[in-house]
Amino acid sequence: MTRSYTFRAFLGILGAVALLLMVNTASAQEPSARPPGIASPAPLRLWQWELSIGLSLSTLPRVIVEEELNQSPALDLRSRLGLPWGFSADARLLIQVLTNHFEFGGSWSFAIGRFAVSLGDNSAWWFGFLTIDGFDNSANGWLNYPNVSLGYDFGRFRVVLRAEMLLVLSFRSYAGDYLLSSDKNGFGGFSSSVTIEQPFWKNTHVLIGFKASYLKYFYQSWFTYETFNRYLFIPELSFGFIL
Amino acid sequence: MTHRAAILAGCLLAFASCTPEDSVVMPDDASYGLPAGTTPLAPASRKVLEGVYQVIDNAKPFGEFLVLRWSYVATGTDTTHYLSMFGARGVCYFILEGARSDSTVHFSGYWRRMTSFETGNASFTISPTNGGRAVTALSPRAQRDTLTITGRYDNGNGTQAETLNLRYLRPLYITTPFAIIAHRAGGRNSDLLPASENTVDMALHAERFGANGIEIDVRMTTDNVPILFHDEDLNLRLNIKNGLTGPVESYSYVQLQAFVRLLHGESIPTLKEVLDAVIDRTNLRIVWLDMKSARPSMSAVRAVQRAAMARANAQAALGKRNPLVILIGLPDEEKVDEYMTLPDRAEAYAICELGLDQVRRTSATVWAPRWTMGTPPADVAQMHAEGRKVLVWTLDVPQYIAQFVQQGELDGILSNYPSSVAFMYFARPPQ
Repeated sequence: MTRSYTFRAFLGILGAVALLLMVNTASAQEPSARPPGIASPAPLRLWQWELSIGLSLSTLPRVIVEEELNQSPALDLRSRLGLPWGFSADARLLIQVLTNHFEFGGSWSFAIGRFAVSLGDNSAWWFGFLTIDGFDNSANGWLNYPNVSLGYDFGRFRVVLRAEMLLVLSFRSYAGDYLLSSDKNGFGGFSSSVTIEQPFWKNTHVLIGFKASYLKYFYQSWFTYETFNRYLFIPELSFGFIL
Repeated sequence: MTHRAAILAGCLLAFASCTPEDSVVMPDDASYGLPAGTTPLAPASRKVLEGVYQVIDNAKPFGEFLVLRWSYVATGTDTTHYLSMFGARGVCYFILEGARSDSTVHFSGYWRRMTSFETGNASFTISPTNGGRAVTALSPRAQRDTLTITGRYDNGNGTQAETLNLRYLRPLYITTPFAIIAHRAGGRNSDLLPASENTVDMALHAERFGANGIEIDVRMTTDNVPILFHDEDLNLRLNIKNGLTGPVESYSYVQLQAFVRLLHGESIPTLKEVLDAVIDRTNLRIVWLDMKSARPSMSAVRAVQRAAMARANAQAALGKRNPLVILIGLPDEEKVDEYMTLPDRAEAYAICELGLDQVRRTSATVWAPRWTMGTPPADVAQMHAEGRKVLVWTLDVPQYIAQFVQQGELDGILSNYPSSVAFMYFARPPQ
């Protein structure tokens, strides 16, 4: 089962790369300066600060949500700050109101010609609450994402492939007065993504990304209280303006 | 060239975005089957085997304790008895058939962990010296202190067998009746069970999963036949591709019978078909009718409910089965208003999911708050003081199930994992 998912993810990423490259070619912009990098693993100059704002849309698996809402966009803010010796501090906020995810961490990058590689580790604290009719629930938890990225600079745009693991460090949820504390110290799944950073309009750059995740546990589905212990496919599309 | 590449890329993306159909292949290794020449166990022999057992080796996969409980499915004059074993770890159960040869008792079947794809073959034996002689005696004696069940299981056909040995610990905890209600007649399609949700076949499985009641979703066809179907629209989560689309309630019963097959090939059943199967072929005590219909449905459903309860309780009076309560669900104000127009609602049984005022207004027999609110103990006590029962829905998280069961204030739980509820309830130590 996992092998089949991995193969599909690989094909999906190939397709996404090809599609995004063609979109990029088709909408050729006039040559511009080297784009700033948010997703790109290229090393930043010391104290160079990059920021992006956009939207991210994940689709919850049908087996969890059935007829219910399975897509809900999140405001997606990303930031990257250059530090000495090729290190950078990374942060990302995904705000969905009912579920919010604050991710921060660091990475070490190096470049060889047009290629760049980074190794990083991010931690995230998330919380959610649902107090509409029939629900009096909240939850929060800690996650960890060891990751590796590979980027290639085509000059006018960059392509970034990223792989990350999900480690579920802790999880707590409440229903009314009841507290459920369920530490899930363990492997939660893995994700791979492709992102393109390219010129958009004049000096504006955008990032367009597709992420394929195979997760036993996806924090955005906390309110379904799903109990499956099996890998489920969760696609995510993201789009952001690099400020 | 660019166009071809774009089409190829699009196809790759579409292919990768489709989750493959998950399935659990039922194990059927003949080497785990019952030996030739065995004979059925006597009712008293079956009864003496029920209880809480301690796993004396290999407790990791299924937990330290297993609850053993019998159920049956009748087919005409033939009745098949199943011994279910429920464990705490990962929502696991065994479903076995039993037989004897001389003074040895044999069991054969399979196990399943519902939260994952895990399953495998299983077989167990009680040798004459481990209690088999006492269990198979003409008058089985409850010499259960020395009752030991030895067995093996695997992780699917062709995998290595592991041992699993159990020793009798104590009788099942059975005090006040506790409703263990299986969602959608036994389980959801996403739980990858051997039958489709909301079908006769699934209802026949429910007791093997530990339930003593079922919840089913009732909708109406255009010609006013109450049928079972959860979703508003026909869709590939519930049915095989057939060319029909849109609301299931926009078709007649004949159209649905002709063109729609559910995931395991079944037709969409009528409410009457499922209730008949429950009455004639199982020993279930409760049926909760979740009134999902967007059309007026209360009169037609009440007629079916009245006839079915009369027939079931006539059989119960003859000692052929347990008494059966069929509860009409009141999930929203619209259904409450419709229910209030029933001329004979004073004799009807209803389960109300709304607030206490509506429970009292409808004279509902049962109050069913959503478990996600937590359960306000004061409200539960009030309902009990008024002679009503309280059930929560739809609770699957094992920690919460344990919490609710141990508190002992509720009269039952609706769950996709009735085996978990059964384990938590029956394994409670005596008070």
